Amino acid sequence: MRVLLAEDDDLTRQGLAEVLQQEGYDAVQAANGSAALDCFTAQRPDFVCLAIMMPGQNGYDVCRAIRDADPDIPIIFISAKSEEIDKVVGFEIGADDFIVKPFGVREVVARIRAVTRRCIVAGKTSRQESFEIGDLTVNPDELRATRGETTLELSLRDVGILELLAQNTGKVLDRNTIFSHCWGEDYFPNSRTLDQHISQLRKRV
Amino acid sequence: MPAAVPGSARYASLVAAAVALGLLVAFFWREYRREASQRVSFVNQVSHELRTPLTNIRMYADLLESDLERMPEDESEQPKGRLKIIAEESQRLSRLIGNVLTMARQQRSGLTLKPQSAIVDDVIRDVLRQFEPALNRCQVEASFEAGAGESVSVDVDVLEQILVNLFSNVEKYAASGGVLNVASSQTVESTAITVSDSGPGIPDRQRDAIFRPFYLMSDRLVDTAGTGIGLSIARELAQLHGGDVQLVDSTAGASFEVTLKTRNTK
Repeated sequence: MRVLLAEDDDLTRQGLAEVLQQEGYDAVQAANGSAALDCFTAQRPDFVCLAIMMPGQNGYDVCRAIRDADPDIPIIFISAKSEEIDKVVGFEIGADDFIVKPFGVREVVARIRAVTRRCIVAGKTSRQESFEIGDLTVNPDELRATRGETTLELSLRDVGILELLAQNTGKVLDRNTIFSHCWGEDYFPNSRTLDQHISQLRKRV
Repeated sequence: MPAAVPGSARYASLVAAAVALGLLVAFFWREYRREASQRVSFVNQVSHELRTPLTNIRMYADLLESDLERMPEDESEQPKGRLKIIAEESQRLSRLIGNVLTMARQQRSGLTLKPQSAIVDDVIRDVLRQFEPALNRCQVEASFEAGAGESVSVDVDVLEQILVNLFSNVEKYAASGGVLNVASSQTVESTAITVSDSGPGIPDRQRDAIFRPFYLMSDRLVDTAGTGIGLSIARELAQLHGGDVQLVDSTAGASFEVTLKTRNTK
């Protein structure tokens, strides 16, 4: 799933891109409003995270232009502007969510997962059947897995890894296979990234 | 041409003087409003500008924490402890900015309520959870006697800010008592929350003054620093919500009672 991330503060943008990549999204970055619109046209993302105060075209202008081109694409505003009127304007021009700075990573992840679920339900991305791995039932559309009464929250990447493992029960998978299936062929994480992710996923499930 | 009547001349000069005075007052009033508005706008702008670096501090602390999760426990224990302090301090700074912005908003255009249906006890639990690491560090044991479990119409942001300001005070000024007791109760029309501690308490002569903006109980630099706006904002917000924040009698430490007008929504 591809996300357009438009934010003029380099550190915020790079940090958020890292969070999105860890979650399993392909993050396309833009540092100003006109670059955001160029990326939107060229890359056709599944949803957009947009700062408001950007040089050149501000986030509101970018949001309007994106809405004209695609009335259904989810748009999340990420901004230091926290006045009620800022949020009202954001929602009126078509934002789906509004995250106020300063935020924690967990909050951003929870909101992005919620938008992803809505994207899937709205048919923006293909829906997937639930599947079982051991005693765990994984529901990819909800980014959740259940074991008995317990529900576990999953990222897109977790779902990808579990799906690959479920499809290859009893087989040994090498690192390259897991990387290309779950990280994509253009991404070159080191082996430690994979080990760490698998180790964290194992702990959680 | 008839000569001007002296009475009319006096009347004309009186009107001219009144108009001149009016213009002068209008000029000074406009200048005063412009300066006040510039002051508030400056505070607003600075507070907003602080939010981006603060976001980066919090976000990179969170990212570092998730990196540390992947390290062996014996190696990551100390850095994790230090990271927790960075996270707590940045949260403290967030709360401070929140208070400054509330005050600026109040001075500029007054505050308005945004009530929604919520359970007060859930909000209290959430805020207590936010404070858990800080209270643990100060060795303050928190207890909560829940009695406001009905779904009511309440401005959650306002309630959170009131609680945050009261709990912050316990963390800053009353940690020596080692106790934070929170209790809630509800009627069909209102909710009451009591926040008590076993710290040094508030001297009688300062009972009213502590609710004044920028009032600090001690001017000594060695004492814990604060801005002195927390309680005044808490009271202002509670009054906006049809209630109040009051210092109530207690056998030890300080005890604050928050009352809010809340209507059952179910």
